[in-house]
Amino acid sequence: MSSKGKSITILVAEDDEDDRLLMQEALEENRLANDLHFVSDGEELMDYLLHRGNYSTPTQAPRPSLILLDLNMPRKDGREALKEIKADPDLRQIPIVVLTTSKAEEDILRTYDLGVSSFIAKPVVFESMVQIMKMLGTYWFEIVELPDRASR
Amino acid sequence: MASDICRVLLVDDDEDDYIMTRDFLSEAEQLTFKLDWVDSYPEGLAAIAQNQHDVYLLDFRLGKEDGLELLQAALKLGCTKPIILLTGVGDHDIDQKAMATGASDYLVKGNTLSATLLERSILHAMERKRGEIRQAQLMAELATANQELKDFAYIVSHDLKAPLRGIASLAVWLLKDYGDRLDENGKEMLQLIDGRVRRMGDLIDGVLQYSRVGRVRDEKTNVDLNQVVAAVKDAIAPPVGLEILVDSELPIVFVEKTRIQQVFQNLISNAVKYMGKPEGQIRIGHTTDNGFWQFFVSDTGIGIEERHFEKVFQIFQTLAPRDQSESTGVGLAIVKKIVELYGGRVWVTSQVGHSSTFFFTLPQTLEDRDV
Amino acid sequence: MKSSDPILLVEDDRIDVLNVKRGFKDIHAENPLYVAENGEVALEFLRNSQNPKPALILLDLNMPRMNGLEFLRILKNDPGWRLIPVIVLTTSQEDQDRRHSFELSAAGYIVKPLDYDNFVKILQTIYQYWLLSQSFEGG
Repeated sequence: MSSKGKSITILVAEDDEDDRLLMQEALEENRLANDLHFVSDGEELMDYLLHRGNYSTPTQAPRPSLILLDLNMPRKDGREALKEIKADPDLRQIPIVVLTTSKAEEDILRTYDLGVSSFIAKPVVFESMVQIMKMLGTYWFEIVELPDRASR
Repeated sequence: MASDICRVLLVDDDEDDYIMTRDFLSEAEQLTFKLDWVDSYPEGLAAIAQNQHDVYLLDFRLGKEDGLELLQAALKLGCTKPIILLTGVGDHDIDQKAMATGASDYLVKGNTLSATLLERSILHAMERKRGEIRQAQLMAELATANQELKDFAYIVSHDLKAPLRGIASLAVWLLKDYGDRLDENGKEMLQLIDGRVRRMGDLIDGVLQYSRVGRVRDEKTNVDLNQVVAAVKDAIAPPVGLEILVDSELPIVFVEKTRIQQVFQNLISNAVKYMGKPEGQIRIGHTTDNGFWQFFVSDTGIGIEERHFEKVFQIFQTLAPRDQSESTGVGLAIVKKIVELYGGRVWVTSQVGHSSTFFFTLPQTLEDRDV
Repeated sequence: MKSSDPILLVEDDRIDVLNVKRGFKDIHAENPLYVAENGEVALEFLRNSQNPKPALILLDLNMPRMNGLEFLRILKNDPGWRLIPVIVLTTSQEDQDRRHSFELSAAGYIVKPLDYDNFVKILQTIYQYWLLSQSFEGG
């Protein structure tokens, strides 16, 4: 049940450098940065998941246990990437948590509609971020049982 | 059928061949043959569909069609009797094709064909066919058994655990809500219920884990055992006085990572569990022997009597009294199952009161033993 | 989710229902809790406009008449209902159940532990996590 001994791969899609640092530190603070990967837009996110472009070596882009997704990103934004992931039979089982500054009802509605697992408003203060990452980690990696990582 | 008459059907458009075959079979020594003859493809197929014969002889040349086509058609009909193709001298390609298609044998017509050769070919073909059918039955039975095991594990996980959880909750609530109205005796009984419920839960989990070894497959990759052992050491977090040493640089093996991790995890935590004192040493290493890697995990623990060397690998066998032991006796059984699945062996040597060493082997070229 | 939002528990085992009710009390969760004993009853609950729309559904898988995965499929195919996060609470540790649940956009998959105290801890984590997340309230 506990996550000890398991390697946890988290993939964070976030374009803002400051936010990335904030999240990385918050995850490290909670000793959750076991295997952390960052991509900075939806295009790169899809490359990572489908082993395209810069991510053509599968060992370099291990299948994530969880995706943390920002909605507003350049090139391909989070909503489009979300749609593509949920349409892919091999990727749709990966839980996605939207972590965004947007609190627009429309975004909440749209992303839940597309099959996101939960929608969390991104905090500005570091302490809150640490708190949120802690909750996120406990919930997803200590009490939730995720599907086995092998993809059939 | 051994003492009975063996019924043979010849499909051949040449009457001379029929006469020759009839003569040969009449000379047979081990069996009595009864030969029927039809001279065309459609008649042949119709007769095969009737399933009245013990063996079929098909000539390759059959007018418009040929014997290979008839062979294919017969197999498609579900013919379970042996089929022998009669071919001409030098038709090696056809001979090969016949065998690849599913013929039990082929015979080259001409001077070399004799009564003895024909009889022996028929006998062998029938024997081989019986073997094939037996094997197919065994495979089917095995598939059923595997499916049943899967279903069983599923039922165990769902249906046995649910009522158990109910009992566990009720025992806790009784203690919490009515504890002040019970005397010590009553409270102790509730605690005993709680303990037995936990044990039962562990046993169910053990059965599930054990059954999962054979039925859940992962992808094989090149796994660096040095990393695996390091990760296991981290996860086990042994008490301070306990030293875990790796003797040699361990190899990289092509296996399912979770499984090999389970092997080391179970062996090392077993060594930790049966150390029996606050200080001790666990050593891990390997040698190479005759195409096999031989690994060992040795400890300076309580040891095992020789008469228990086999028993420790059986599921649910633990050497400690049930009430005192946290162990369900599944860990080593799982080790054995995984190692044997990869074609290796596992055993233990020990000096009671001093040490135990668990050995296991893995073939250096790992073939899958799974069905 | 807010602490006043209703939660729907879809569960057929009476003791498991007590587990959740008692657990909620122990963690001081005051959300109104509605119980449906299988998928069919849960759908009826959702269809009835007199009932409040739950902000979260806790779903058992192994139930008579309509099991949890069948219910989840229907729920996630309905444009009005698919916005409700569903957490699977089950005894099944099978990978196929986990995979099916996440394919159907489950918001969590939790194996019920044997003992009650552990269950309360789990419930607490679920609850805190969901207080943190935003749900859609415009429906």
